[in-house]
Amino acid sequence: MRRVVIVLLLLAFAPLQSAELDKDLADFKREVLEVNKRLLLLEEELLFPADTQVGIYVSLDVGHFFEPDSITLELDGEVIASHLYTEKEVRALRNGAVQRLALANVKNGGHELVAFVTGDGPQGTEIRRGVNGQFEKGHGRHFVQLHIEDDESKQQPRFRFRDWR
Amino acid sequence: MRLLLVSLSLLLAAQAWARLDQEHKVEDPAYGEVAYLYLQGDYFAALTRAQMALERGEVPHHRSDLQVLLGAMYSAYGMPEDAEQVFSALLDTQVSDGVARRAWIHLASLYYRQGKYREALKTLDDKVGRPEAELAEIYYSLKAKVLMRLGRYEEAAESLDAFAADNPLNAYLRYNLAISWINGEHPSMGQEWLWQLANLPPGEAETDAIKDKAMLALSIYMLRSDQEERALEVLSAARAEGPFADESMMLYARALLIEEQPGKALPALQRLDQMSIQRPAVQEAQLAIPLLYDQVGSQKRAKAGFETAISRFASLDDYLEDLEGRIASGEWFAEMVGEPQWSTAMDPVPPFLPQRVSSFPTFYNWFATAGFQQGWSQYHELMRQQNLLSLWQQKMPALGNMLQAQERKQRAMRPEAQALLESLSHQDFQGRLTRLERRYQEALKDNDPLPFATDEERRLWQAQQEARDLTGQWGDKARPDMNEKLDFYRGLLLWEMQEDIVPRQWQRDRALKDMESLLEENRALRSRVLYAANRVERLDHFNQELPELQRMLAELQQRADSLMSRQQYVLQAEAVQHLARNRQRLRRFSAAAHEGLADLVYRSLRTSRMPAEPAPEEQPAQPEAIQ
Repeated sequence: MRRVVIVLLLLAFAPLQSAELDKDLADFKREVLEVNKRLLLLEEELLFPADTQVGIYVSLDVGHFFEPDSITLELDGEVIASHLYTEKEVRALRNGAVQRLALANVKNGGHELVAFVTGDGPQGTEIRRGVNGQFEKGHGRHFVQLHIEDDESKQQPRFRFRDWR
Repeated sequence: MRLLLVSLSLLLAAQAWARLDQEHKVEDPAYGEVAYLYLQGDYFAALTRAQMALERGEVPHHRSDLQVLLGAMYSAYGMPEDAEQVFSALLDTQVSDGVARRAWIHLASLYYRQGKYREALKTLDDKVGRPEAELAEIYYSLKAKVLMRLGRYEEAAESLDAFAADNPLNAYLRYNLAISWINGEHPSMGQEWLWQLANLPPGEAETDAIKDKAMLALSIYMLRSDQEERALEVLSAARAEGPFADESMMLYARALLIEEQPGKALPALQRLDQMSIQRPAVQEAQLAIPLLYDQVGSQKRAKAGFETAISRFASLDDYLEDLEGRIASGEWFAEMVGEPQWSTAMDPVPPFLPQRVSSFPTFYNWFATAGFQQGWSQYHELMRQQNLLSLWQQKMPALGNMLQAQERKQRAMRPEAQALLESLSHQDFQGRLTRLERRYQEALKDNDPLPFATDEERRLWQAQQEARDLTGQWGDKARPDMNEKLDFYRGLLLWEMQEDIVPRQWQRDRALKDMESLLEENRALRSRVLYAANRVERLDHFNQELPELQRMLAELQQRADSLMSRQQYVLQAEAVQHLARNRQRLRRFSAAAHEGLADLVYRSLRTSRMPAEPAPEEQPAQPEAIQ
């Protein structure tokens, strides 16, 4: 008997709910997004203040000769990030998106970056490269880009760090 | 079907971003980062990052591009009002033609989702016109969908012809249009299009699914329009696996029975018999098998078939009744949801794995509907947000500690910094440098070499001056050649100092400039120290923000619980409705099986009670008697 009542209640409840539910869900999502944004801004400000913050990004341009598999990043001799790529992430990079690989705190002055990149090159050959780069941290946030681009003349990928301010 | 939906959403996502094999165009890292999340379908993380970028002014080059993306994401994430607001605000400002066209297309897409088909078409025609190549796909597919909804099928077909025929989205839309034609005014055109789709080269899972679906629709149409032979031809090529295999097999058996080839139909039905009784095609096969035996005169097997069918239908009905109870108690739903494994707060929605529940074949068709998928994704999205909110709750004490640590540090450093600034303000570096510069200019003007002399030269100059003063005091006692010698040495020293006066002046000029730049750096550092020492409002703001955020988190967690329950009830109610329809059909099948069995027994009894006639030698064999 109890089960029948529950089933009947469920059947009566559904049409009443679904109309309002979409709107309530949209309102809820809006508020969660707002709280999430404020918390992330607060956390980033506390953990990585703008004066010491450096962001390291990866981009792939256009990716005919290289498909990344993994990247390990060192900043001043310390490993600060390691990443294994999924198919979706590679597709996003190929479409021109940019990945934030790491966010770190550094003092003003010169710093060294080293990235160890593995992946598939032309005709499926395995590629392993080490890439070096320096940057000069000044006042304010600093961005560095690990740019992977196609070298048409050599039919090979080319890797380099560059400042992105 | 689900694969098809996923691929369609990915395709649409890629089109909204629209970069195909081009050089890198991203100038603001934040914009590229939003795109990275967006292209992976993680709208929640992408929306959060986009809002952060806009608030912090991180997108000087791509502000309007990001707003288009933001609107598209709001729309895809089930926030149509926010999407409309973003597009309207963007289109009210001065933006490039390309950005405006993309915004209009997304706005038209939003109208389409809201069922405002005429508004969508008007926007596409009046505001977008003829789109550039990179927007062609999304434009024409959207236009075709709108035109189909408005019943303007010929124009929809023209729109579909305007973009790549090998695109799965195109195939999907062509299928919809073909079905509309078959059920409408142009059945032959619909049949032709279905034929083309059914003959697509096999490929990805979504292509194969659309091929199967077209084949199925085509054979149903052929069976309805008395083209049994062609239907048989089509169905014999259908795949024995895939989501539509059981329906194809059942249709094949039906076509064979219509064509009076029961011998060939039996293997197909027996194969279906091996599958789960929860599937509608298998239930139909249960009934078809004894009827087929009866048709070929094997009454004994027919009777056994009917009895098996009745027994299986009864046990299935018991199972469904029990399932209804488990749905009502929430047990079924909990089993479906399982325990998602989260690793980070921004994890995407976990994959849908309904196979884990024993009732999967019962709800198979319902699981493939857009309505179920939407409700299910919403439930999982709520779960993810609930998880995110609890992770933030866990982090709140740590954030509070970090804030306190920064406050302590600032309290300790502030007096030190203020004392340093105070001492620096008394140094008057700039005044001293200005005086030095003035002296330098005067020395240049007077052509005075002394300010540029070395220490040794200055010492000699000083000694010479002292000697001259001393000899002056001696009066007449001084030797006459003494003054001449001193004048000679003075002249010599002056000559030496004048000889390389230009490099000396240049060196001094450079030293002054170096000091100027050092002083500039010092000023910048002092202003930063001053700013940091007096930056109390930042920490005050955080101190106010933290408790407010904590309160909001608690309130949102409660709302998430309530919304999850409501979404769960909606899905459970739909499952109960689906189950009720299933049970109704099952009852009809069961009644038909009882009727078939009764009829068989009746016929058998009549046969057994009829007086036996001597059988002529040519007479065909009597049907088997039922035991």
